[in-house]
Amino acid sequence: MAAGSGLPAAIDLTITRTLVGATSGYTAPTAGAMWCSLYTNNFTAASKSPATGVEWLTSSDTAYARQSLGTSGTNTSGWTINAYASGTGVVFTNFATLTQPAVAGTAQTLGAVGFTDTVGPTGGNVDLFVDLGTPQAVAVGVQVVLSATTGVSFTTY
Amino acid sequence: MSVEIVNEPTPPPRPSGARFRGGCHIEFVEEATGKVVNEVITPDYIYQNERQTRDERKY
Repeated sequence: MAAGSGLPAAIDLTITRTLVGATSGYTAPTAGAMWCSLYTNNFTAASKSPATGVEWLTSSDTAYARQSLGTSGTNTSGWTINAYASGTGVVFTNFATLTQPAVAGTAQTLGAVGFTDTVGPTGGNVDLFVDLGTPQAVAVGVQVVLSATTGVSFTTY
Repeated sequence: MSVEIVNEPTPPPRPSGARFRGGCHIEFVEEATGKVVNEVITPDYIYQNERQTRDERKY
């Protein structure tokens, strides 16, 4: 299964409904209310479905917690959103460094990174995601780090 | 009057609609030592940055 990235399939549908003014369109989250979440497997390009993503559990990694993107950045979004550039589109990146607490309890596997609208540690909507392609082992004592501005990058085009 | 078009240039790609794609550059850091024990850069991340670099060269 090919790795995917961008919007989950359900958000594709919701955004479309929003653009055309249909019922069940998108309700904007509170500014700055997004969190980074971690998953053991890929959402895949075929399904782009968080429903198939298995999020890390606090019962397994006792230190796991979704990490807030904060309220800095463009329009207090937690993202740096660049102006549209010809041939590139609109690139947006994480404003601040996101550091997951070191894995505790049981070693984990990282297959996808998501961005949710709820602090969790479970539930809410995944608004954006990136698959790693090949899931990576994360040993006890190791932190998953997305550095400021370079950790994750999305393009709208 | 007729107009003959000679050597018509290939039209540039015409984007339509909006697509989202993204990539990650993840570091796996051993907390006790601060050492980066693994690093993953996804293909889409490389693709995006190469495209930006190429465009910067172009313009």
